[in-house]
Amino acid sequence: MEEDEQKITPEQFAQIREIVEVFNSSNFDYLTLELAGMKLTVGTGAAPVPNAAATAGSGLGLRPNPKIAEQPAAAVEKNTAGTPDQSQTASASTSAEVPQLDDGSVAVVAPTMGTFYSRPDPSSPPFAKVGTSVDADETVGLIEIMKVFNNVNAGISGVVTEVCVADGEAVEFGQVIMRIRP
Amino acid sequence: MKLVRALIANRGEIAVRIVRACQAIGIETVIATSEADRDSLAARIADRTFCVGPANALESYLNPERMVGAAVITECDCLHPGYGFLSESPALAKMCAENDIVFVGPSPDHILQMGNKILARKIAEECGVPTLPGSEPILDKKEAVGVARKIGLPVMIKAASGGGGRGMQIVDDINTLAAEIEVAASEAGAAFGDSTLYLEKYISNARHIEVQVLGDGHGNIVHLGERDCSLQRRHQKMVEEAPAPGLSVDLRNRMCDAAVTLARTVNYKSAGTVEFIFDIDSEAFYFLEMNTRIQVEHPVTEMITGEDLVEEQFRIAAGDKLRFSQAEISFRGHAIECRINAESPEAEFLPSPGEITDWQPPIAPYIRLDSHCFPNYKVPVNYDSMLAKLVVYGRDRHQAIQRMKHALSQFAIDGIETTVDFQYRLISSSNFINGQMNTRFVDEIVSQSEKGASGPPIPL
Repeated sequence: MEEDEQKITPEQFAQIREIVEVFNSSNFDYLTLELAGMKLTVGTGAAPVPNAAATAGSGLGLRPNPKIAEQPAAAVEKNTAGTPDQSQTASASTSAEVPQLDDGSVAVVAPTMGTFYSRPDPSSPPFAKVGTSVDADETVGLIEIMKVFNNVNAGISGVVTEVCVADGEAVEFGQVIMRIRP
Repeated sequence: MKLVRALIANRGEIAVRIVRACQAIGIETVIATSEADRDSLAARIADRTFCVGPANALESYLNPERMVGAAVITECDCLHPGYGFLSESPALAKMCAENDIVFVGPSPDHILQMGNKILARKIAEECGVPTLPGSEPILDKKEAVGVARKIGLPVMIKAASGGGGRGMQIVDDINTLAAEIEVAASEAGAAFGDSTLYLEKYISNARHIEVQVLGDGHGNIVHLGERDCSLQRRHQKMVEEAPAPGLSVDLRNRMCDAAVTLARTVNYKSAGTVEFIFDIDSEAFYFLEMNTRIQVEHPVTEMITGEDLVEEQFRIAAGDKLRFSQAEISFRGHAIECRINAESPEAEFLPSPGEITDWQPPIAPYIRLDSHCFPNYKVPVNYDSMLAKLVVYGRDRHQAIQRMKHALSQFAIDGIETTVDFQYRLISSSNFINGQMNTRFVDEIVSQSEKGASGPPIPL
């Protein structure tokens, strides 16, 4: 689906189903069809296009809406003129409502403001990276404020699907640090 | 030293005021907000917004680690604390110094000296500034009864670390003193973390007059005249004006000189206010306390002097000497400020947070509005109820009152309850117009309206 508002009609669904059945009995790994207002990718194994996360491992994947995927929560970032260097902070979400993505990922938000550290010390591997399985009470990062370090806990058991903040980057209170799929 | 980027560790109208002062003199701004204020006016106009914590002020606006931490992270070289919150916290000023952040305010020592009311009284006495008959810290309730008899009733119980009108109790009856001390001590302990109390003579027919001072830390001290803040409700100011009406030149000079003497004694740096209680019957004035911050009512002083006090704070913080001598400060006309709060005067001034569905401030010559509100702004439940400071200027007090009446009558706010109409009643009352008011004036107007007496009708 390319258009935000567009929904799949029953007719389209029947057509897609027919295409999938034809594809399944073929020798092809992938099939990409582009029609007016619709792009369909069907396949098995690794995805042929870099951002088609939703196609991986499944027989049928509709491309995710990039707007939803990249802007999870109410963004209040606006400052423009004369902005200091570090203005590239991600938009934050409110702690009250933990945003959940289409793929079921849950955001881990900064419990305080400060400097984010992804590893216990510079020579150690990160607490968590994409693909790491974590428990709810597991530490996935540290936030330092005035030389006091606070643990960031996963909050939910699952697999890390995205790390949104780089090691040593400043985070605001409530900023999304990483995403975990339960 | 040139200041490049300021962290504003406050919210509401004063945050907006500080951002604008920075813009005027070319300092970049980072506003530290709580989650509740991410979309505030200050956040909209600042160069950058940095959310430091949740709406609960203890984890945001009252948290020195987060404020200084935010200043360090966003590479600010100075921090302005505004008023309230951490503005008179020696811990914040000290933490700024430890992290090479210039605190736009006095030194931690000044804050400590003046923050402890007993110590401040002592400094005032030592430099010959009159203080009210009072006591040393109360150690013993029986002893306090003796001291109170000597001072003469009524007396006021005050908290050594109190401020903002809190931690005070008037006692008329010597038999209730011991019990009142007990209550006040536990209240002060809970509110200020210090249950030390002292006694002071209470003057019932009094006006509250304060003097604005500026010091540069290089030994230069000036005053910018006085303000009358007698219209208070529960020790919270409602209307302020400059100059103080009906004050003789001699009295005014003596008060301003006393304020300068006190500031000079401690080599005060930044903007500060020396508060006096003025005994109307004896025409004597007594030192109350010194506030080591910019004050809410600073605009009335700015209106009659043409100076920008917040801008001067930044210049002083940068290490500059004062730009003007006492002789170069001139006073012209009269200014009045009415605080517009989200409160319901009909319901004992109960706060009235919520969405402002309509916001149409008055527009006319000689009006200044310091506010962070706009149409559809949601007044959060977490903070104080002040929405705006409506300030007018006139060539004399009479003209200023006329302009304020007109401005209030043209101020349309919908969606929440406000004190606009109540303010109209206050400044329309004949006692106010004649300059005959004391610190109990507002309570009298309130009790009149509770008895059903209605004020003058408000023209629409």
